[in-house]
Amino acid sequence: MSPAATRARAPGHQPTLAPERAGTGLRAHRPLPWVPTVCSGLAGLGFGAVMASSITSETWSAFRAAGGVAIFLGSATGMAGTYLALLMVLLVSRVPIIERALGQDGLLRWHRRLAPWPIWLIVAHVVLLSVGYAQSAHRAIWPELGTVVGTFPWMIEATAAFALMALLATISIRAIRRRIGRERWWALHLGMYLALALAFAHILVIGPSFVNHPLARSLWIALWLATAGLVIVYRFGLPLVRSLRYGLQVAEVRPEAPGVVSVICRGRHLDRLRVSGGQFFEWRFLAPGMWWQAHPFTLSARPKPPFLRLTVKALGDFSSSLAGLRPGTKVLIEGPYGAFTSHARRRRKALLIAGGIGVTSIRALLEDLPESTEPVVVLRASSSKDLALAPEVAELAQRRKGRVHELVGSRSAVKLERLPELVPDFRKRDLYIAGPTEFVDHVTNMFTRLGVPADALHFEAYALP
Amino acid sequence: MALAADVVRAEPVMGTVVSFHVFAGRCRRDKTEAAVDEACRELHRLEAIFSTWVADSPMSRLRAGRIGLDQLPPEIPAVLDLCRRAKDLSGGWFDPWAMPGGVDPTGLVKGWAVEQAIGILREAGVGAALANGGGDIALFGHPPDAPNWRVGVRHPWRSNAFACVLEVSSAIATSGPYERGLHLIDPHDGSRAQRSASATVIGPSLALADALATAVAVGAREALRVISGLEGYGAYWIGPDGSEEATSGFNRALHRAG
Amino acid sequence: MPPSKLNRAGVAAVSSVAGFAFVLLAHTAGHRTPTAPGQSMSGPAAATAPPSQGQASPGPAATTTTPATGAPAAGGLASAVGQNEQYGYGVLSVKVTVSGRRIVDVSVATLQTAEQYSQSLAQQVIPMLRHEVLSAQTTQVYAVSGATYTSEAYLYSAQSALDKLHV
Repeated sequence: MSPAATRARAPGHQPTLAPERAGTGLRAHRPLPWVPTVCSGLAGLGFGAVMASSITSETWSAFRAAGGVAIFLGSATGMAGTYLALLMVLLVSRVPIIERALGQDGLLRWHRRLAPWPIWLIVAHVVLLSVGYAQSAHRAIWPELGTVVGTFPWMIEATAAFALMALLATISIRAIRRRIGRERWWALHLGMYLALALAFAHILVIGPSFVNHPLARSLWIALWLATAGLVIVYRFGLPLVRSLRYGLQVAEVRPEAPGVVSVICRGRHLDRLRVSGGQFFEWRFLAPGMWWQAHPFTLSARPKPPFLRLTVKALGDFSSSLAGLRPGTKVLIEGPYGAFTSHARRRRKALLIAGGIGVTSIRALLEDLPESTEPVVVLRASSSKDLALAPEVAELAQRRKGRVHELVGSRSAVKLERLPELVPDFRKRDLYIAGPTEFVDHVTNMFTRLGVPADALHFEAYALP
Repeated sequence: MALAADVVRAEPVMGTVVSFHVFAGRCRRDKTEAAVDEACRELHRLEAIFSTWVADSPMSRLRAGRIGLDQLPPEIPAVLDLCRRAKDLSGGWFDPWAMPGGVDPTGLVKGWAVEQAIGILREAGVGAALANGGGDIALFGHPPDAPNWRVGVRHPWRSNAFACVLEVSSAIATSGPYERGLHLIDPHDGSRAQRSASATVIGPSLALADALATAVAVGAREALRVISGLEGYGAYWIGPDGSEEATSGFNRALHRAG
Repeated sequence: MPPSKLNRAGVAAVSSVAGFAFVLLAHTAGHRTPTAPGQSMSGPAAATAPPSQGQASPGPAATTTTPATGAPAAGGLASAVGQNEQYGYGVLSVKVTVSGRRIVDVSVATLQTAEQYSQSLAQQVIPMLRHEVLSAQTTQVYAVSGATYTSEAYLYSAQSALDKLHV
């Protein structure tokens, strides 16, 4: 076990990809602060309207009749569940102004947090309507269900959609998902698009909110068409256009530290790529066995035309196989994404804390920080060999009249609790924290307990596969 | 709106309600009432013979193989003969022998029974009568104020509306999956038929019209083509998508509403 | 300062209520005309009792009248409308008329289809043979072919009508 070491590193190394002066190249547009509020408002308005439409389409006599309560609740839960599913699709539609305002991890967090709701609401929808129709017809549930599915329009498609949704929900249970593997699960879970498309017609044709309400019907169609359009444009169209435009190819793969490699890509027109330090792309390397999956990796430096660099730690099969990439391999990108940028600053000065491979985003972010931020950078690694990119970080910090602390050693040897002592003015700084989820949570909680407000805490966590 | 008649009666029987609209004509009022009573008694008697729901009805015993041919009431061979005719006439689309659980003439019996009931009224000398057994209708004569009995064909998806209105002279039956679910079985493969939203047949005999309507509901356009060759019968079919087709015999009966 | 998370949740909640209220108000404002779904419909073979009568109260609602629809002029007839029964695709109520202890007429008083099902289909139905859908109220017929109500719903309602008449 190496002892804990805290020392300032002197510049002197000369990295191949020399750090740029701050202010060169195009940075991503500044996020608009009102976007999350307006989007929350719009989402709320829509939810209220959808719920009200379930009520206005109900009649008192139908409600009072046998099965009426279950049928009403069944329709309402169906509408609520479908609307929340729409919001889930919007959350991952990659619309740039929302992306920039909330960051992709923020959006994904909401996407995940929301996920159980539409599933359970739609399960309730199916159960309640089966019970309701059986009660109203004075029949057993199974034969009534057969009649409903067999004779109501578009119900066979809707049933298939429900079966697919239930299947995908089942494989999303954590234990099962882990067994399937992240990439395979992710590819499968896109089947939800198919489920939503299959279920669409029965909602319009027999949904009480839409029958005899041409206006509601038109609005609903417009809403879904717009959502589908956003997904097609921003998830598929724009990335393809960008990938073709920049024409990226692998130029070199270089080891940085044990298990850490940098992949340097060469491309065209990179001077026109708008990206901020700390942002990431979804990378797809067109090599055998790899082309079918895209992975999020942060740029470890601002683009230096004609080069673009990412630095990756071998954590899973995919990131391990990056070391074997051949020069000339074509690369498709989707992005840039992420709100972990200098735009998030609320104070003059900044404190940057990197745990392990989190150094990549801190390194790139540092490039965007002006001298006035007097940056203090803290790098945490279990041994000095594992300090990837440390020389570059040191040089960038030094040019900005900042300083670097390296906390090296085992978990028992390094007391993260001493971190605030290293930066006594941390309350006057924006805190940027990047690293594995556990590290980020630990550091964020520590500073929150020390009274750092939420708007000064910016973090980027890498989930382990 | 239903029109008035001299005697109106609704008799719950055979799992549905058979209603009578009777104009006495030259027949005496009490004789007319007595004839309707007798028609209702006949319906209950036939139900007791043919019910497949009652375990010890002759029909159930026949299906279970627990009755000798010599013990059969004469109505059963008569109905089975009719079933054979209906099977031939429908090109096999109506086939009581292809039902799960043994021969089941249910698709014809209700119409046949209503036809027997209306026969009793005719023999009693009643002026005009209509008997409606859950939508299978047999009738004769005509109401005093109109040249024909007018009958609506239920709209398959709107129970408050008609798909069309007909001037019927003898019998009309409609079959479809609505309201009772998928109760029609394809004799060729035993599957639940879903090829029709509604099938209507008009003709001289309600027993046959009932069976042929079932055949068209199951066999859709193919069965319709078979029926179009039958003298005296007309058929009207609505597909699950709302498309429709009718034979020339049916079009002649359409009520040209003003 | 960015709006805090609580603020966003508040905005979402307030706008939910606003959206809810807006649609409700718009609905009530635009609902003065009686064509909206949920209108009660009299059945084809119905002795068209106003639906409100049929749905009025579960308590005794027997009326002693001479039906306007004719029927034998046998003096005092009593009739009652049974409870609404769901029959799978709608609501049905049966009107029973008795003379003394004898049932002289059973007819469908209310036949209301489940609007989510039948009205939607009605909208997409390709024009029928007559290129119009004849409404039960405008064409007088003696009977309807194919009008098989589930006998259970029919009998439940009829029984409740008889209970009201204490027959």
